[in-house]
Amino acid sequence: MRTRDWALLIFLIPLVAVLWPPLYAGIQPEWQGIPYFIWYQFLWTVVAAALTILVYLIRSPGGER
Amino acid sequence: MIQWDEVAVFVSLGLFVTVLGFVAARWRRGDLDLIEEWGLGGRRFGTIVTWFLLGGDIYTAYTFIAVPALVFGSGALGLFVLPVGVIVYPLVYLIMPRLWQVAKNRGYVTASDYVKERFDSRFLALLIAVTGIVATMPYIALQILGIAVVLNVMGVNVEAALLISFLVLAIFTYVSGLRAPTLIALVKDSLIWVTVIVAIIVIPLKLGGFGTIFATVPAAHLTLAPPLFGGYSTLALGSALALFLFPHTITGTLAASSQHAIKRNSAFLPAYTLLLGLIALLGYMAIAAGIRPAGPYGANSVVPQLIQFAFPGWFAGFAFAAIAIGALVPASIMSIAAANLFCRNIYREYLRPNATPRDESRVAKIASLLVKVGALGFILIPGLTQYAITLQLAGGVWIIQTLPAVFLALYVKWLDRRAVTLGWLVGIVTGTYWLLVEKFASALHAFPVGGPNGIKLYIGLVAVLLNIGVVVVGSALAHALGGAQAGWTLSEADYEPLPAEPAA
Repeated sequence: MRTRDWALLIFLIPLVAVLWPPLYAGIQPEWQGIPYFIWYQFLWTVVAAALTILVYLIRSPGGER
Repeated sequence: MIQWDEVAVFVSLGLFVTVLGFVAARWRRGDLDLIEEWGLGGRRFGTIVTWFLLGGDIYTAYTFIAVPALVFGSGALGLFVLPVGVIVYPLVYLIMPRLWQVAKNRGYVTASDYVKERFDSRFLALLIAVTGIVATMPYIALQILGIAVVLNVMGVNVEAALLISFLVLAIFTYVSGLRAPTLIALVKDSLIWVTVIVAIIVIPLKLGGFGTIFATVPAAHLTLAPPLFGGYSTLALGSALALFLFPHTITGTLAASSQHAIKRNSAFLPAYTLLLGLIALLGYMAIAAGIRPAGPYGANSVVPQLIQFAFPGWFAGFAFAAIAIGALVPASIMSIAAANLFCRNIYREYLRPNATPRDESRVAKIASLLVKVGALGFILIPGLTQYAITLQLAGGVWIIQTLPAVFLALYVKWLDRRAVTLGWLVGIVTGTYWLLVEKFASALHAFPVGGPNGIKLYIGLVAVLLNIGVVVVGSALAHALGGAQAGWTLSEADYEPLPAEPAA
């Protein structure tokens, strides 16, 4: 099984999402009274972790120990 | 006034972890007279233990106090810890398993051990080791400051209580090595998780919900203003790059039992980013609750005050113990990491080349004590506390300058060791210069790009870019002139799992 390095490109998604503040510097739209700036970054923390799991699963199939 | 109910819970939990610190010597028993056992726990920690260890190591008491204090005072800027968490774990996934593997194969205990062999240069290794020690010392001091802040809010004699916690910390670290903070981290992280989950539910209920909380905060503090965009993202990127160059995080990583333990943790550690993000929000809640900075610790006192405001005494004591134990764990790991560097890359390298493994571990144990005495001095000697905060700011700018020697070196063969040394020097000098211009009060500096007033950027990141530029140009020149000293003493096999080991 090759290492499937292409999967590493997935990491670019969260990188761009949080390193470009114009994407999320704003108060609207609020969610449950929470400003956009805040919930957006919390959301990306979760999405980024999910993407890391995805990369791990693609590159280490079966998760051998 | 002494809050006795708080103190009672605090002291009970403190006693519990003290006992645990000593019991740890027998946990996964190894010969503690060997530095690999004392200083790296025998590289035996699996995925779950590593999760607790690194979580306890990175998310420190000082972070729990200072990040909400920053949000309380400056608003949205303090939330940069969220992008740091998003950026850092892919980096960990990419880089740290390779560093772990070569360290395991070649028996390295520190990053400088790697640099020494990789570049065949004990001088470059010395520079990296000294950078690590200097960057770590103020960080330890800030952990002790974290304990001091909660002690002060509980109304006890700060100096006396600090001395006791310090003695406990020093002795269990000396006796049990890395096993002690690792075992205590399991308790620390459990206490922190409980505290934060309860706080994030109870405090908003008390204050009328998140909507009400954010409505009381000035709108300018709830989002980022355009002039800060550059500063925000460079600070996040730079801090993420620096985080796993610090000796204490490298020590925590090298103590893992496999590449897979590290890779899995890059997916599970973001849970702590979420935790820290929630803690950051306590800064907004303190504003809504009408808390004012008070006492000798200023804005750093707002979280302990908020806890006291929102909870009955016994739970406040529980939360304060969580913070204090949250200081002991990283302080212990940091002192071990600094001691490992001193022992391996200064003592054995320059002072006593024929030191036996027994000498090594003895020197490391003593060094771990000395490092902590220095750190305690920062906090107890009046007027020095501010220097600890300043130096910790500088520590990040300095440690990131080791990036070419440690991270780039893992991948790029043709680096010339003289170019890497010069790059380090350029990075340290320019970084320190810009910090001086800012009077060490800010890690951001207005660089002359994009407009008449320039853009504020993180000093550490700009300095390391210069550093990398010097390394690349210098190495290319050395090759062009035919005198390259790549010192690629390792072969690709040194970075691969041994045949006997399971594949990566």
